[in-house]
Amino acid sequence: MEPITDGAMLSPWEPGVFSLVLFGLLVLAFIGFQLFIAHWVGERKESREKSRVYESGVIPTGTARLQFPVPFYMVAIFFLLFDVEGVFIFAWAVVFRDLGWTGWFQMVFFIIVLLVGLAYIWVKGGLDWRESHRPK
Amino acid sequence: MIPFQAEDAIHMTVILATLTPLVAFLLIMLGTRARKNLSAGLSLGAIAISFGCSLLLLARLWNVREPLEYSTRWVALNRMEIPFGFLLDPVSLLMLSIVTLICLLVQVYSLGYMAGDPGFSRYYAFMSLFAWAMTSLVLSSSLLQLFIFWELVGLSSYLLIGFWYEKFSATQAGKKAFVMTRAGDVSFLLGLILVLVHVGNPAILEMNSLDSAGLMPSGILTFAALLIFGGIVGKSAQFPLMTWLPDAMEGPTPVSALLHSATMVAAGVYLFARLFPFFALSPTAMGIFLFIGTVSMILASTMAMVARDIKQVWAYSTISQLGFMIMGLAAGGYFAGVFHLTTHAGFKALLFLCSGVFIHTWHTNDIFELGKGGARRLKIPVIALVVAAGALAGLPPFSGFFSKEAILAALALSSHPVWLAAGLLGVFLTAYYAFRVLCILLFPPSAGEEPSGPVGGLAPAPKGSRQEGSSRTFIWPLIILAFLTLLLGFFQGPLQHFLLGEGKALLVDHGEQAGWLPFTALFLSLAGVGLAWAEFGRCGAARLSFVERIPFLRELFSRRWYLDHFYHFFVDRIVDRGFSKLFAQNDNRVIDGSIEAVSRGTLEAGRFLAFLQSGMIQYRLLVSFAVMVLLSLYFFYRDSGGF
Amino acid sequence: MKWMLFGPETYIFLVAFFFLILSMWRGPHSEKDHVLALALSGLGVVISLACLGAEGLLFAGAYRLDLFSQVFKVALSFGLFLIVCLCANVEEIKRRYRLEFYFFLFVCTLAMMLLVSAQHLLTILLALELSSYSLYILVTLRRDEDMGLEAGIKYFLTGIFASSIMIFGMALLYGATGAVYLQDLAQVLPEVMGTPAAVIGLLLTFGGFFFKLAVYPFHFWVADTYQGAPDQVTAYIATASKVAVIAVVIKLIAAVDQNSTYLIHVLAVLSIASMTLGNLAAMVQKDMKRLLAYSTIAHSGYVLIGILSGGTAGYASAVFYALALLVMKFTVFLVVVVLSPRGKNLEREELAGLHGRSPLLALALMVSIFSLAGIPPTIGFMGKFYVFMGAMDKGLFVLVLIAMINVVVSLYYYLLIIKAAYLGHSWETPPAVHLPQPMRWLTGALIATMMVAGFYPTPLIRLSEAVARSLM
Repeated sequence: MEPITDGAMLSPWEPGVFSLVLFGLLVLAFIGFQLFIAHWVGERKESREKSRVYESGVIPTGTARLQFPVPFYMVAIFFLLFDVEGVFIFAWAVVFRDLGWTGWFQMVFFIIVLLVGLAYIWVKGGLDWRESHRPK
Repeated sequence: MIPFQAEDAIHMTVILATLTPLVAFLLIMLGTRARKNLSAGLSLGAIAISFGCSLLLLARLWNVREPLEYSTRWVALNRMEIPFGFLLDPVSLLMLSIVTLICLLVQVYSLGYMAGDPGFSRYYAFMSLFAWAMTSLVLSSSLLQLFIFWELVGLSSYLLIGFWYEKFSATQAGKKAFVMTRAGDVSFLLGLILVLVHVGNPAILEMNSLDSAGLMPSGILTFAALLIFGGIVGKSAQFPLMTWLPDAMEGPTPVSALLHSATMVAAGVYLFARLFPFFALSPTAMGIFLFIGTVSMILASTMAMVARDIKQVWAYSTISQLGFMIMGLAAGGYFAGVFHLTTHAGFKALLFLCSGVFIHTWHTNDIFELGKGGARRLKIPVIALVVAAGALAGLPPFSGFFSKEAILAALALSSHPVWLAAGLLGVFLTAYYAFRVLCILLFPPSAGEEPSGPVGGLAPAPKGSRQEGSSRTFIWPLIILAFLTLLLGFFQGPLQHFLLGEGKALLVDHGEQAGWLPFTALFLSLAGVGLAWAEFGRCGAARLSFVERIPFLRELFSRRWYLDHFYHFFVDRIVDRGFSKLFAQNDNRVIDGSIEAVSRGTLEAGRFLAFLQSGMIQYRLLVSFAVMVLLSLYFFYRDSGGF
Repeated sequence: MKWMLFGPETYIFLVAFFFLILSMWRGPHSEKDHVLALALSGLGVVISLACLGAEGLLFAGAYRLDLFSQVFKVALSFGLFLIVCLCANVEEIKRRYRLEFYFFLFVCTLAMMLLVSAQHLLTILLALELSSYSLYILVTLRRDEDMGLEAGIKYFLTGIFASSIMIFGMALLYGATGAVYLQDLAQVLPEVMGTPAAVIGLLLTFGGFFFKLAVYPFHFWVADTYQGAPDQVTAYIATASKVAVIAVVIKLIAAVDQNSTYLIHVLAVLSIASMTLGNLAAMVQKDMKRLLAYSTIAHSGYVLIGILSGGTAGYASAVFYALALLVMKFTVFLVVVVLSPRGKNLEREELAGLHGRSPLLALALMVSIFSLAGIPPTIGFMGKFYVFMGAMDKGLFVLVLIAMINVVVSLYYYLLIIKAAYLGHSWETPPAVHLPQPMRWLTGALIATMMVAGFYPTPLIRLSEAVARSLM
């Protein structure tokens, strides 16, 4: 990668900060203008249908603030964790021969660490779906 | 066997003189706190040994002209080396003797004064700690070492003032004293570092030699001198940091006698004398010192004129006398200042110890009440008090007369007659307030009618066995100090010889130049005494001073020239109500609010969001980010000069 | 044989692993676990001491061992040992997590050891994150769920924010210089110092460390986290974790600072802001841990002075100050941990009558507080003196002046503590504090260390100078 050594990187124009400020102001003005126009020109008709969560979809039932079972969340997280670790193994597999035994040992170590983590989750009841199996 | 050298003997004596109190402190703190008599004995023994050693040193080195320095490398910081050791020269030896003597006497006195106090052992432990710190301060060979012990002295004074912790105000006073002197010390440390950076060596001899003038530009030298003088101002309670001393008087009276008159506050003046050649390199700084000394002297004298609390009168008087010494020193009268330091230590300790007897007997500090209670019946303390007040007022043949004359002579040589005039005014005021107290105590209005018996509900304390038994420990220190006060003045010649050496008198003898001066001063003191007598002493006197007839002046003086109000205003408005409130509010709203928000409910998602809202964490994070970016932008444009 | 160089880290890693396995094997057993952890962390100190002389490069130059890193590793393992000493009574930690508590303590120490040796930007990042994540969890382990969780979440949010800023900064820095090793960075950086990418990148990179160091403007997690975390964890964050971060900041600044006034000014501004804000806010605090949190912010400001002074002298003074902080802060926390009422934080007023309850603890508190306040003859005074000397040498008079004023301001609240401990009295007299004999020895040793190092700091100063020189 080439180091960027150009001194005036922030501003290609000579006036420097001035242009930056001007640009920022213009952006703000533009956004403000749009919002204003939408507010001014737009027609407002309040109706029950319109204020639904899904305006033209499934009719919601009950409140959104219900309790999710925690195990679901935990399993999702664990899956994500081990899934991401798997990516390393794929990368290693591609250059398996180049890395040789050193790489193999390193990957074994990595997997052992993962397995210990898995064992920990297991022993502590992280994978139990039911409430009754809470650890001591 | 190595032959025993005279040098080694001196070395050993010095170590003995400084370290025995520390040993006593440690022993008391570690082992003997439960046994009162043993603790007191240890402390007394230690300080007695110290005193003996200092006398030995004084006698041994009386004729040695060159200062002796024993030092070893202590810290090597960066490229400079900081020595640690002892510096023995006339000033330090003289001061050492004063300190150990007063410490010894006060500790003996305390045997009676503090008898029966629950913290008796602790009191003696702190006394020993103080003695160690003070002796080490006096003998320090480098300024940094001096600073460390200077702080230790402040610390032990904090502990000693706050000693009576049943009294709430005593602790407040302790805090005030500590913080105010610290403000001065910070300035001292800054000055010290400034000197260190330029001279590269904080050894006192090094600083005092004329080389330091070459090493520092004169502007910096003046600045450093002023900064170091800030420490003196704090410690010696000079203007504008003068208000802590009267408040510090709430501790036990012996402590006031020891710390706040004779030794600790005098350390400031001692430092001045110690660095006198260094300070003298900067005439500008000396001029400012002269000014500050004068202002403190006059302000404190006026405050003393209206105070009713006997200890406060002496506290103000201490400030004013210290100011007087600083005037003398700043005017170039090296010997005069040190001499007054010596005599003042004696008579001011005497004043406090006498007052202590009264306070101990009648349990009040108010001079009018004490007078009514019949203070005049305690013969020996009264005689001692008269001697001490005479010395304070500058009456011959007491020691104060001689030293005051010396300072006035130095002032007469100073650049402007206004200093001399101020000095003379001070003499008058001093004599007036000293004898005001004396007259009130000795000639209560009802003196003829009711010489005995309880007056105004104030009975003398029950003459129990405790008081009878302790009276001897009260009386002997008084007698010794009174004799000292009587005799010390006649040692002016030898002392001058000792301090200044044969030929190199820093100041020309004053006798021929201002022959009228002693008489004028004497006349002014007598006038002050006379005025006090006329207003308070004589039969049928109005018992109202001329100051109190003028409401404006009375208010001004008794409210300490509104200095405290100013500090209060500053601390209250700006620190307490300003910053602290701001932070307290911030805490209440942001932090406590969020704790409540969390603890109200369990960890539902909605609650969680509510907590985030009330914690406003995202705004704070935004602020952090903005600060970082703004900082980098600012410095980028400043650095590259593009904007 | 290069692996021997990696001794302390390997050892700490194995111990952490051991505790993890143990936590699966059996339930917690407070007393046994404590003795075990004490022995293992003590051995860790010995091993770090044995590896004090190690020098060399590991992992393709991404990991550097020199006197600097090894001394800090000793300090860290010593800090860990001290903290474990406080864990005899971990009532505040949820019972089922007591073994994991040790696990995370060791992992965090491991991460900090990696941090002081790391030379590669990514290694630094990883080590920093590892230590941060251990701390996030440690903070939430408090038995009182609300407090622990609030503290943890605030800590976590600020932490990940700071990390993201830091990563952004590192990316910019890499873009500007093309260097990832600190030594390369030091060479390339002066040329590109004029570009905004380098300047902003550098500053944002420091943001991550300023967060850990609790410097303004990344300070506001400190008070809440200190307050909400279990006492032992707070002590750990305040001592060992601070030492590690100071070390890494020194290392980074030493690498990138080519006498650029730009960096000095930024650091000076942050230092002044931290000192002032910390001290002023500390004045009104009632909760001891909160108060100490704000005082920590102030102390970070003082340390920054040493760091920005630069040169061997400045870095040495910062190292000295870090080591001094370790001892002083730990002593205060020792008192706090011992005195804390069950399930609650220690209030300042609850110190009342401490002098009567336990003279030794009161003395320890007094000496350590005076040390923090910078009153001679304590180690804290020498530290401040050293730092200020370095700054004055550079001609930063105004900065030193402001710092001094701050020192006076800080006295106010420090004295309130002393006053409560020595002069305050409580209405009902609480029972005398019983300290086990080993704790008495420890307290005595800490007091002695602070005093002796105040009177005779030369060996420590020599050490700091040698450490700083190994950086250059």
